[in-house]
Amino acid sequence: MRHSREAVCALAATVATCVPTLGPSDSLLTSTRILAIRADPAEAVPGTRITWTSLVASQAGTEGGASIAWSFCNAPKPLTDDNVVSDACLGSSAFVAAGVGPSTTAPTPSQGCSMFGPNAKAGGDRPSDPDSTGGYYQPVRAILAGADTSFFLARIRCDLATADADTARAFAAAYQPNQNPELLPLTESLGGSSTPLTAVPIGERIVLRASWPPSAAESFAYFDPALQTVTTQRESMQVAWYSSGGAFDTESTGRASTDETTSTDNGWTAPNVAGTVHIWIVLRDSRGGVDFTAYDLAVGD
Amino acid sequence: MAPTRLRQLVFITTCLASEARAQQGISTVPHGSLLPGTNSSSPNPGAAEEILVRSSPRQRDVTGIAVSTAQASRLAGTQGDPLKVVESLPGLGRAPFGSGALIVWGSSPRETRAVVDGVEIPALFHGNALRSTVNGDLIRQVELTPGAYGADQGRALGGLLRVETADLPESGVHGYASADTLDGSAMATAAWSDRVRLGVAARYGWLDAVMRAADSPNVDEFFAVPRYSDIQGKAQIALRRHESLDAVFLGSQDALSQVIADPDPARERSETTDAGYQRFYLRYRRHVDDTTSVELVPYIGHDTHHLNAKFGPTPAVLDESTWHWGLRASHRSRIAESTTLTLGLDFDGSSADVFRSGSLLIPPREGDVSVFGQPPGSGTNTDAWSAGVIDVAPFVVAGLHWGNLSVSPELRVDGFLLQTSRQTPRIGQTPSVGFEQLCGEVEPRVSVRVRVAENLTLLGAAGVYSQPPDPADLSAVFGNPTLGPATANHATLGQSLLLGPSLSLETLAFYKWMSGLAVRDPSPAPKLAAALVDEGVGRSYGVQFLLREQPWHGFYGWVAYTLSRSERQDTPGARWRLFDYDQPQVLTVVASKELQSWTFGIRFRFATGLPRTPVVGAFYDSKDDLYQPIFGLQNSVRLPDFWQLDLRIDRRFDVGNHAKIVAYLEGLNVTNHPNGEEYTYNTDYTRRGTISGLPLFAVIGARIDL
Repeated sequence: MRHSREAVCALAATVATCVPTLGPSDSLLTSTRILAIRADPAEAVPGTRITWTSLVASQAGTEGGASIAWSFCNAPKPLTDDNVVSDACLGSSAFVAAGVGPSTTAPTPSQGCSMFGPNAKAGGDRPSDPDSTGGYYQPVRAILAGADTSFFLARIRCDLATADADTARAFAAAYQPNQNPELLPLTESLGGSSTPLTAVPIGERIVLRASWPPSAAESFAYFDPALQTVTTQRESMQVAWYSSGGAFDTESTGRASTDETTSTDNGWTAPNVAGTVHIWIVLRDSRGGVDFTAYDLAVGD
Repeated sequence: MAPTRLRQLVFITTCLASEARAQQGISTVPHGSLLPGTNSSSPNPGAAEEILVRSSPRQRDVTGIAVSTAQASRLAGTQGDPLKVVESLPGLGRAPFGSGALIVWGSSPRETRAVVDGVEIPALFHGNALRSTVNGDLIRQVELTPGAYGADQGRALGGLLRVETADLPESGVHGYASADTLDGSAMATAAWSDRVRLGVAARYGWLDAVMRAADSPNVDEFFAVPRYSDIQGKAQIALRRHESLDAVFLGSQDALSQVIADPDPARERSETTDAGYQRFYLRYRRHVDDTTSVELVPYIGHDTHHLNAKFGPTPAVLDESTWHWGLRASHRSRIAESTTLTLGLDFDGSSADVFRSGSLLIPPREGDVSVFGQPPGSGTNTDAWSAGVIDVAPFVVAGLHWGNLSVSPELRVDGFLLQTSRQTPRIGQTPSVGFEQLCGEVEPRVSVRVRVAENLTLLGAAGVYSQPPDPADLSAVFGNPTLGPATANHATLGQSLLLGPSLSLETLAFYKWMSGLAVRDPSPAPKLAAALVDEGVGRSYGVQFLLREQPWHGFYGWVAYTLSRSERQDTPGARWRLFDYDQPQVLTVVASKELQSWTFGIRFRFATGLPRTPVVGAFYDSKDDLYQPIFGLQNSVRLPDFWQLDLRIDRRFDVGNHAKIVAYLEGLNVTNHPNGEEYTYNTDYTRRGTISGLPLFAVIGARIDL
């Protein structure tokens, strides 16, 4: 039996710290937000023309005509910044404009692999560290009036610089650039039985299932710096859930790289008033690939 | 005098980096008495009733504050563990909840050493600071010197905690067994013959089992559940007259684990820490009188530390295995009527094998800017290296006494040989190239006491100190193989005033300047193999007061208050910021009263809240579906002030002529004051909450002594 957090705090006080609850879940949309950004292609060498597409949503539903100002940040992140981008990317300099609109197409800066990758910026400089999938990323800033500033990290393909020549060649031959995953149609159930999205009872909890094809979780070549050899990893998958009403059990769900299941469930409790509720689902793979979709749920008696 | 000028005058440093040494694989060279001091050495551990106000004359740390274990173990808040009394001594800041860190006079926990009979141990407390790693009944006294310590010790920029083991009972078989909600412990001693005495002690923590039995099996989703044990052994052999030989073994093991499960693997968090140490040393003593003695302490030891953390997809692994060995030797003699001279050698070596993988920001360092629970940046890397430190430090201490004036000029010379197996990150099968450097640190120190009146003594002490880099910082990937020793200058001035036969007031002003501190390189383009640079400096100054009542009709206690400010500058010209552990005010009131077989104790603590960096905004990281904080000025806000009241009551029952039982009840935070231990934020950093620490909690226990 799982006890409440408060009870545990009282019982285990010798080593306990009690964490307060701070407001509503991130899944509930209360203002206009950029929920996701997708790059096509999902991974490319610096200088390639990339199309970025946004998913912008508010209580009123998906906003397809958002006027987003896109730009590239060219400031590498110091080792002291416990963040995904440099503090300089939050200022007004170090940017290259990349268009305005709900989506944009522009070539990524050609010096990406030296600014954010394994190539030294100058002789004797320390190269950037890859993420746990071996990837390097070009920061892309998206500013939408009335919404929080967003950054998307566009995966850039760089040569392997920390391996010997033979290993680097083997890696280059084996590595397949990332592809965006694909969301399959959402399914839902109430009490174990399938129920239509157009007839969700007031206050009832339904279970939503997001799924993707087996090919969406790709396997890819990975250079293991400890072993100094090329190995294979498999992507993990994450689903973020948003709604304009009601409440999800949890903000995000997913599957680890070792879990070959191609779906993930989340409970959603309908509001106590009838009406239309918008929900959005964003699927992300661990290499930065994205897909998203939106649904309207009819809540009634 | 400006600190920089002071340093120029008294500090001489030479650092010689040797030519890079080509290696195949991983291969390195292995690595006072203001009041008359009362020696509380007792043949019966736990029976001593005296209290040492200052260190013994031989130690002469005028800033040292010593407490006998007999009284320390009966103070509120110690749960019978005398080493926990250090939390209540002046000069020591309050450690963040459950860390057990020693924070003295603006120094990081790693800059203060704990030594047992002169031999360093890596951890004074078990995980979460519930217990000390050395059995309290094996200890004679605890002395905290927050700064300006003597030349017989070194390798620490901060303070020094000296723990002296007790003599074993001279006759018979003795022992005790104790149990409470935290753990169980026992000790047995036996006088084998007139010359040989033996003692063993052990402790086993069972809090994790208690918590699981009382609650749910998945309790470690919420708390870092400590599992710990320790064992000690001591053999004491009387040789010729005035001569003795001790053989001591110390061992400790700790495990901490916390797993925060999540339906999204990208948001799962886990952290597991395993740490342990073993020490074995011989201690030969020839103690003729207070002015003539010889001591020899050869030692060997091994430390292990394994950290395995995971913040979603970002891992962090740190494995360290370190061998230590060394020899301490000193000879003290009277060379003139008013002059004593101590010549000594402090030789210490260590050899560490380190593997680290994952985020650069785990484990965190002093000066890192982050908020509680924030995942580290996504960058990861890997390195495996060896590092060795050899320190040969001869020292000389002169004791000059002219009437009411005592002066002790001292000199210590540390010769460091620092070695690392790689000076650049590994690329393919390219042979590693090692790096080694020789550094000499000349460290003059001095202490002065002047008795200006029958009840008033003035004192002062100053000195130069150095500390070699941590082997974990000598990585070509995560640190910098060329880091040299950091240095510090300490200066203190104070007085001790006897207000009555058992009441004294001691005041001590201090100033400390540190330089060459290893900090992260803040530039956007750091150099290869230089993630850390030794450019940090720090300063700390303040004054501490100690109003102390020695035992008087069964009452004893003290009021300790420290007013201080500690700052750091990470790079030359950068803004001075508050030290992460800066606490301008720390107040501790401790009192205990014995009434026949009852003892009542009280402890009140107040400390200014620790500095924190405010979050002034946030942006959305669309790749990872996370908000990231935007920070304001570093360390420009504080956690709420801390205060806590603890009470203790114990009752002694005599069982026959040779046994007694002591039962005790301790109430911690009896007012149930919700002390804020950390700030936490909601997902998009628009709301801030406070994580509260220990609520009202009771510890019930008993021990039987035979």
